[in-house]
Amino acid sequence: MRARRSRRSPRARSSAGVRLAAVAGSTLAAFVVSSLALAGFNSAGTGGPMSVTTKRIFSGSRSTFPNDLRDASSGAASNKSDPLAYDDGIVDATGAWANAFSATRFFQADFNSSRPAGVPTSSVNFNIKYAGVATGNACIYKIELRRVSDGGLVGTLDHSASPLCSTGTTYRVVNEDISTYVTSTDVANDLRIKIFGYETASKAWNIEYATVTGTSYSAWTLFDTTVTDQSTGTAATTPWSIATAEATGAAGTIYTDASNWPSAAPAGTKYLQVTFDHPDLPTGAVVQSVTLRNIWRAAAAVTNGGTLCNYFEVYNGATLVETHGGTTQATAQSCNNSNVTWQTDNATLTLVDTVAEANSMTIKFYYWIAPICGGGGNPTCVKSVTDQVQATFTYYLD
Amino acid sequence: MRRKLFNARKLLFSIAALGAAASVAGLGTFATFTSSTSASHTIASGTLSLTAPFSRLGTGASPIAAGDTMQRAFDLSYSGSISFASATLTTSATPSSGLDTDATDGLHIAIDKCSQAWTESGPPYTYTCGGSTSSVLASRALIGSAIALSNLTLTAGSTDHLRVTITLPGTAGNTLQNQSSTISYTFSGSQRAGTDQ
Repeated sequence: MRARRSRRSPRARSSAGVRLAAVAGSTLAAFVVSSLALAGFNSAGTGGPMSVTTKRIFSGSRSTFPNDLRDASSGAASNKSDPLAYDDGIVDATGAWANAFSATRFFQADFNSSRPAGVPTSSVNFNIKYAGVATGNACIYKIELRRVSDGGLVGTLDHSASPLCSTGTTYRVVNEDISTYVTSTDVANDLRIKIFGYETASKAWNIEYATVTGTSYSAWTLFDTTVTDQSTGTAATTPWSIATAEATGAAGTIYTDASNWPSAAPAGTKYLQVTFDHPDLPTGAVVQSVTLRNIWRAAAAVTNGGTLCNYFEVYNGATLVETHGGTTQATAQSCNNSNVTWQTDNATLTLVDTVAEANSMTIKFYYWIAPICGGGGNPTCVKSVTDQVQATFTYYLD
Repeated sequence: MRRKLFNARKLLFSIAALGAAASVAGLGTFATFTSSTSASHTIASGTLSLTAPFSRLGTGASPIAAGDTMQRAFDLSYSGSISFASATLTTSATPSSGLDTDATDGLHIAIDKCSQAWTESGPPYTYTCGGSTSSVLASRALIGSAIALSNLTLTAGSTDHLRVTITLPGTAGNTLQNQSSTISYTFSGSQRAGTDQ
């Protein structure tokens, strides 16, 4: 058998050999360079482990408004609370519904945004108590959860197959678990609930309350800020009167007390009282500051050099915590003789410094006309108009 | 023609031999020093040891808020007989959370050196330097691998007095509430370049 011979010329074979040698040499050289670069001693020392944990709730300011309002301007307290806030016999009466579902008929509530942001939520429920006003049955066909900010749909509770109906005027209580949809306070703080319903006799509903409850370290409750009643097919929007500062004085956006305020000096029995019963600071929170804002003016101009003045007291239950302003014009919290210009009082409640005090804070505003009112040539006696009462709680939770 | 082929083979063998010799030389330089020869003098290998004989790095903090800082001092000692050329830091987190994965708003680290031991007060620990300070690591995201450190002494037998400052930026948002991370620190040193001995 003959050895196979290369067809390449000896010169070509020689060139191939040179190339092979160059490659081999380069490889070896590279190995040497690698050795130079990578060899050497190393040593390592360790530190830690260091555990770092952040606060459960960062410090921040959360504002809310009172839903419990008592008017004692006459000397006898009258409950003027938010109709949808409490099971107190004060109801929100809707317009007349159709006797069957209609996509254009609903009752909608936007809730307050008092929760610290970015906190997980659990056991979130929408709670509503309602009934027909007559013999027909008030029925919930479906409930939509939406974002207030953009109207975006968060979730739907569809009861179209078996609507949730009251029996005539007997109230029905529905507690819908919406934990699947409201998973954080970011959603809870931007929550709109839209109820599509009907009334079998095409009548109105009475709604005793509509709230949202949940838990984020501690239990909390959200109340309505604004309600839109489109039960008739035409929208009628009503804000809770003292929740927000519209500064318009328009009916429904303000609260005008029932009686003229006393002359010359405040009376201990005549006041406007608000209660912040659901700031819902979690147990263990550290209260850093609490401020109160009251935006108000006279219902009518105070004539003849008079002015409407006030001072206020802060209570924790029945216990007086602190007083702001005195009982004379010179020492009053503020005075305002205008029925146009709003007086904004911002006060820091320095002695409200515990969770218990913050979570059950009652304010009594005492108004009077200084130096005197009524009678010939004297300033007129007037009522007050309140645009907003708001408390801001700054706190954190370790 | 045959002569040319012979020359090419010679060239191939020569280059290969040179490469092999260089390789052996390299191995001789960087392999362990424990091998011995018939010569009468002794060649012993040097040692490198980087330790943290004093360290507060194991002291955590809870609960912290946006804008908080944590200072922890530690000493980095270079023992053995060979100085270091450089040192790096590698950090890791187990368990991990947004505190260490968020490079922007999560935890940041900075390291400073004091020419003498830091004077400690607390807890919470804070430190003052009675000598001069220099920056070893400018503020950056906490987690990283082989992060270059500067201004270290690195000389065998010496110690650097260091202070780590961990910061949760004021921009940390609510998503970083109730988060937990456990951080481990590894300081690595490489020996200085070889010299004639």
